[in-house]
Amino acid sequence: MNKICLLALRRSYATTSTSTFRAADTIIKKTEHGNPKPDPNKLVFGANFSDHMLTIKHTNASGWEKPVIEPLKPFSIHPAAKVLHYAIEIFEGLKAYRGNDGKIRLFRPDLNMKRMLTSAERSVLPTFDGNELLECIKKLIQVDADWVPRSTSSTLYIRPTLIGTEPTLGVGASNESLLFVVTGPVGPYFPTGFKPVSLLADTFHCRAFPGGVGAYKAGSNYGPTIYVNQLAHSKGCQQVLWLYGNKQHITEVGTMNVFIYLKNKKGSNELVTPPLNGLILPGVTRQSILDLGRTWKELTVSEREITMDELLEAHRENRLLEMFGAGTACIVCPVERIIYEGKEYNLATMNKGAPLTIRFHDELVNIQFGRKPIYLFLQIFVVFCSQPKRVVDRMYISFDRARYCVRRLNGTHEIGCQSSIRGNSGRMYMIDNDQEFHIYLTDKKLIDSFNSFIIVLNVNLFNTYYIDYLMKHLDKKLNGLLLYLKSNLSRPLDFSHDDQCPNNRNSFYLNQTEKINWNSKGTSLFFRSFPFPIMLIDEEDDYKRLIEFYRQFNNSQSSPACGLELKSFQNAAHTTKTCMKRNDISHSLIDLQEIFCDPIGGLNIYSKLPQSIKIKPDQRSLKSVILILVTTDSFQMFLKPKGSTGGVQQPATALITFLTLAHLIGQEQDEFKKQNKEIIFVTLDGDALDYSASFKFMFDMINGYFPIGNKNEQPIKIEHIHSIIEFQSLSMTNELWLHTHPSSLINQTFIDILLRNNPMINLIRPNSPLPPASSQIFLRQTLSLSFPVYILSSTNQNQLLNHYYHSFFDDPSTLSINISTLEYNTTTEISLWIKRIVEPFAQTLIESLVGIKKNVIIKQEIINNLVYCILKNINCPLIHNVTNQSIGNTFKPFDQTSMPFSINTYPISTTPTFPFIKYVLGYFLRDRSYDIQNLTKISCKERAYNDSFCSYTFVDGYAPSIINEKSFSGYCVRSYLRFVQSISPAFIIENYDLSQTTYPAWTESRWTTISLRLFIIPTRTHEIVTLIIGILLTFISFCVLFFLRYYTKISLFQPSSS
Amino acid sequence: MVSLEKKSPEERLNICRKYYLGGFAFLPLLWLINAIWFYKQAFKVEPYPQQAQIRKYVIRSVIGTFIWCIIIITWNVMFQVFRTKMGPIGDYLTFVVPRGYY
Repeated sequence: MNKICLLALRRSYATTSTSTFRAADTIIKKTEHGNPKPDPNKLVFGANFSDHMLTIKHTNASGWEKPVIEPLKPFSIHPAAKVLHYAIEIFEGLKAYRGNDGKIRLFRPDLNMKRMLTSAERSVLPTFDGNELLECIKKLIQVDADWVPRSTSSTLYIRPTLIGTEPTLGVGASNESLLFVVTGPVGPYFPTGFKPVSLLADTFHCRAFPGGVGAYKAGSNYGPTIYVNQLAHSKGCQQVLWLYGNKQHITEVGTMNVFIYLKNKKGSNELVTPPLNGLILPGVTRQSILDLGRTWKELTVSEREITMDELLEAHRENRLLEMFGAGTACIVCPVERIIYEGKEYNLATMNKGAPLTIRFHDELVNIQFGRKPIYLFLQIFVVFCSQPKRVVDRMYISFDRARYCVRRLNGTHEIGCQSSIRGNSGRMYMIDNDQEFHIYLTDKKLIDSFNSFIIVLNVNLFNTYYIDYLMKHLDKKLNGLLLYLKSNLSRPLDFSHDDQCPNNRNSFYLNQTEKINWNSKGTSLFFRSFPFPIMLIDEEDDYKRLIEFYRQFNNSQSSPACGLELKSFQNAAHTTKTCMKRNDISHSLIDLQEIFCDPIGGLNIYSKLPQSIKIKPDQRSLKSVILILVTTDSFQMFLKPKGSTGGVQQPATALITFLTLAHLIGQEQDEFKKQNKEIIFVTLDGDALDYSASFKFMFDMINGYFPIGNKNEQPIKIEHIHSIIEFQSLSMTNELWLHTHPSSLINQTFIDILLRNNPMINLIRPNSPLPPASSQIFLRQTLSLSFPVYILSSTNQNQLLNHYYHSFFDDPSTLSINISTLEYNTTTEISLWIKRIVEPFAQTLIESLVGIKKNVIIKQEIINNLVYCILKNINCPLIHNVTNQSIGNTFKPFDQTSMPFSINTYPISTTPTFPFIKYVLGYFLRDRSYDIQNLTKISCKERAYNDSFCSYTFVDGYAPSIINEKSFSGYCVRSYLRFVQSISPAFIIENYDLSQTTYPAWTESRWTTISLRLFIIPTRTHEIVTLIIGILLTFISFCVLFFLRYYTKISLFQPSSS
Repeated sequence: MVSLEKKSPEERLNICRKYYLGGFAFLPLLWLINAIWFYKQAFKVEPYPQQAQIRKYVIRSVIGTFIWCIIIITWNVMFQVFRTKMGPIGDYLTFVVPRGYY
């Protein structure tokens, strides 16, 4: 690194203080599940963070503690911590750059360390040895090396921060402090070439003053500038030009140092920057530009004071050549316009394309990325000759986009796949169809010739018949299974690994005297435990690559063969009981508590119209609550970190229908005010596996935790439930079926109105068996005595009409959506279909509850938007419309990903599903009388503070159509929203025996690496020749050594006497 | 290691006794060291008055070591075989919980 920093002056940045931490003591705790890396081309500055952070605590009593590198997590700080009151905080900003050679470099970090120490001294924070912090930062970057973007323009931003955390309110030195470093990838400041900025030269406000802290990088310098920057924005400028004193000395630009390049009165070119007189931050980029500029002969560099008058004089006399700001974030940033005392000055900076600014930029970038031009030729030469590639990389060909099967456990069993810790490998054998399958199994000679096989099987053959046959015939020789999909056109007609009777393990099924195969094409393979790994490649390119190698190497017995290595080692084993117990074991000698598995479940989210809140002691009348249920999860045997998770017909269609209905109810809220029933919209997450979420919901209701959140709200108990309506497994079918239960409680008039309003719906005879649905649990827990249940589903009396139930093939193409051409407002068949279901349904609700006939209409656009957001891109305009910018930004990392429908282990796994549903559902069911009240952001916050029943969000997205768009400036949304974690009660009840079957106890194992690699198995002759050559080489080298020793007479075992 | 030849016979006996007694504090390695270190003194060198006692301590140390070996090996084998059957206790006794296996 020092070689790169050719310009670095040798300055000491180590303190003489004996108290410091040591990088060698660093404790490293790595995360199990790394976050997905954002697309390096779409990085927003400061919005993405790497997986790990560095923290070092200090107390005056015991000095620095050991540095800890651990997964990024929020701090818990005492509210009285001094940093929160008196801004005892300093920080630094630097970047790590990955060069073309793959090496990671820091740019003059010694200067940052030096500055950090001076800042710390000024804030009476503890000092340390800068070298040691630098070493710690290097360790942190090594741990998160993958987060340094492999890009020629994106970098890893590093933010070391030191704060005073002593929890006392007196203004004084903090005797407890915390040093931490977070990092995160950032994109180039100017992704599309230089964009010059305009400045507001403010004569009133000032950034720093003599004797102040302008020369230190303290957080308190930056907060007060935001207000002035907003002033600049309101005048059409991007940044502020900070001036000081009566003579209007130019000091800084925004958060950057400033440089002015002009022809001085003597006629020579001069680069001027203000000197370090206490008002100026000693920037690293500033120093580098000065150092670099001094090596160039065509200009003189001077650090001197410069006033607005001099600048404007030079501008008037056409002597001003360029003006630019310099900082770590942008490197250099040209200035083209200044507003000063109400006048605009268009500077000459960009007239010739700012050649000096660009030269500085390019030279600095070349140094930072290690591309110094003089080395370029040498580097190309070396690279050309040596092709520096690790042998491992040359031995294997990886398939990164393979889907993999993981392990899940319940109270008594484990299911899924397991590989050995180093991966399972074996000879690859490809079987495309039934004929090839039988040829292979009868080829005794082939099977005997190898000890282990990885069978590559057409996905069409992945069913119990072929798998059982293979496992029985090959027995221990079957070391792994790779499935392939030739192309999207050749996908199987049916593909479902769920049971034929889903979720039947605890005989949940009501009225089912005999076993009904709702999912008759189900193979139950998901619920089998395989002793070998199974993977699946579903990308056409991957298949082509695979078959190409296979054909090349599989010609005859004498040529080398293809081998495959599948690695998907799972941490958990045996049962949930075992792995949950092991999660709790922590030996005091090892700090790191290891986690083997996580309970399955996400969030149960519920919302209703805010007008219907019942506050104690106001009694809720019996049978006054209608629950509308939908699930938000699904499972699939083969996972992929990015890519479709399936789950479109189950549960996405039902979810879109549910949200559309919520919108209609919100739209017609004036009608629903006229009656006394509450309609609560509930989403359940975790029902795909044994209805854990429903069990949790009923558990909460029975124990009086429903609705959660405010103790003054009247709890809803079972006797308050009027009825339950559920949307389940909706496929785009021409007919729908309404399942009801129990016949003694059902409301015939409601059914009649519904059937009359929507002729698509058929009624299943009461007391028929119920299909797989969450309501099964609601009924079972109440012995079917309390309320009726209506399930609207594309399931007829004995059959699910979804051919890909719980598999990743259940994607938008099954609803005849072309996902590549789907736009935000495309009207698709499915959105028309949903409109045909939801409108009559809402009419039925109004008619049966309020007693009036009303034609309700929903805008087609709203359904189209929901379809786009859920099936294609969750970072869609809708979510930005219903929230404000800061919430909207949290969806940016999920750009171009559809809503994932798989097994969630909240809060370990992060999924955008829950925030999306929370904000959209809350918004749809908002109190619409607030839309037109024109509340300001502050009064919206006040209301949130005073009202603990409702949530208030100030939305600065787009205007709802009610408001005139011209006068729109954000509005306050009042909504009712509650959510609660949906892990099974088995994990909540204390001392619950997990091997019992009262409640489901599903967990998902953790895993570290998943990989699929292809390699070449050499022939026996090849191996023997290699071995002999190796032995010969060893022998020869011994001989050479022997001769050398003989002739030189130097003994290696005795120190030379000379 | 200090050469025993340079020590006087009394000192040798003293060291040997201390090692022997120390071994009773559940420190079988002391017995093992005692046995190896004093083997020559007990059996090989020219006889001297304290040799009989040193020999006694060495023999007892060997026996002690042997018993300890049996105990440790038995426990090890038992633990490996029965760890999974012991349920929670097996896991609590395990220092590094195996990943991926029961």
